[in-house]
Amino acid sequence: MNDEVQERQEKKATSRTALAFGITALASIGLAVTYWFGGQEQIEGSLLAVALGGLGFGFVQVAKHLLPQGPYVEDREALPSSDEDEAAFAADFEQGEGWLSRRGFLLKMLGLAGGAIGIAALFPIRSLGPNPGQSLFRTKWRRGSLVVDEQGEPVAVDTLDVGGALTVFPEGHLEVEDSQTILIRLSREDVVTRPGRELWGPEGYVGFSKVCTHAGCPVGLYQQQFKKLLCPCHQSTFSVPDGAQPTFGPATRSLPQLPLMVDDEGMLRARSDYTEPVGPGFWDRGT
Amino acid sequence: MPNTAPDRQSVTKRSPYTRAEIDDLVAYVASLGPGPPIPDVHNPPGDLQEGGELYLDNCAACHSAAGNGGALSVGRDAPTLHGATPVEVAEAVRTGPGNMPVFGRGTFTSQQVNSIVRYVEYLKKPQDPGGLSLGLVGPITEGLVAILVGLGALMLITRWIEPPAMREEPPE
Repeated sequence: MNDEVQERQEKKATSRTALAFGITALASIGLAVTYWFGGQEQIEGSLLAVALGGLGFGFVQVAKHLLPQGPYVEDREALPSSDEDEAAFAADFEQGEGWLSRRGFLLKMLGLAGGAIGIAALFPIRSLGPNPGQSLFRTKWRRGSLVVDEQGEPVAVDTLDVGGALTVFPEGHLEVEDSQTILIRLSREDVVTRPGRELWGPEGYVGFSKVCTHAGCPVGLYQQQFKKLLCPCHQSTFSVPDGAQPTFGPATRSLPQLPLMVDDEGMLRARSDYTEPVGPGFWDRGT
Repeated sequence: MPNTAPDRQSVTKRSPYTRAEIDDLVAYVASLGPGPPIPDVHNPPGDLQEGGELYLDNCAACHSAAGNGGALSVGRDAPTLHGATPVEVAEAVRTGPGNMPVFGRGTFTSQQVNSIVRYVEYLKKPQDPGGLSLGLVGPITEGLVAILVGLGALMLITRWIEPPAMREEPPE
């Protein structure tokens, strides 16, 4: 390969690399702007991919076309290095140094790309706040909350047949994840799952938090024949007649039970909020 | 039917009875007391969109969003719905066979059951705007594609990164 051809190729590779680093800088700015104006996951992900892809493409161009190429063979010889080796090392080093000093423009573009990525990465720090406060300890259930299904229809005492199950929410708070409750009718008689819960299961209705105490998945699979609730994520299994005590799988705590009552019009209502925090454990949950 | 034991998983098999014998059995059992009638799955007609919402809320947890069924605990599984007739689907919703919960008249109206039936029928041949559905059975087929296509692409990129000079055999 003669020098003229090589020089032309290096020039092309240089402009490709500069273009790639420039694209990285633009995509990083776009990422920061997108995040600032509310964010959109697909766009943010694509911009991050373009930014990192441009950086990678530029590095490969430098490695393939601009840096000196091998293969290099080093004979196994006695230490210390011979004079020729030292001279050869110095020559190689100076060759690389020469490249660095000749490509100041590329280094500046690399600095711009790296700086833009670094600054864009600072923005998501804002997502660490605010402090959750009491929100992990309470749900939207209150004393007297009307029990409604996913369409917002109130649940009456004759809505479920024995063996039926329904996902319910407190009235006015549909789609609030930590308040979703699985309502099961075990019998036509009042059901007591544990001592101290004598009034919680009127007419055979029991309600349990649908948020798994292991990792927070919706415990939506009710096996009517065995009266077991099954979590689809990690197969935690809860025995409903025993107060949703875990009998299998990684969950160690029972699903919290929602105290229920039947009002004068035969509608199901909550006696109170859950008496313990729902869902997986967290740092200051207590026991 | 018939089940080999009450605590076994129910499986579909050839009935040992003729159609006439089944009708006679049904007539006799019906004479013993009132029970739910065989649902009329076309009257009133179901609504596909409502059926989809009800299906995702109430059925998809066990039978999967695509109707392929899935595993339960105690060695049981929720069967695929692709082999069930519309009347079988409606009957199962109303009576809750095996481990399936019961969805009575207080939970779903006849019209809502018919909507679910219509959606289950739709799931047998659903629109798939995402392209190749890979059977919608989850990580087995999708993992295979990820390994073959994803790792294949990574190998090609690895080859592209390598400078041409490095591909030559080093001299002796």
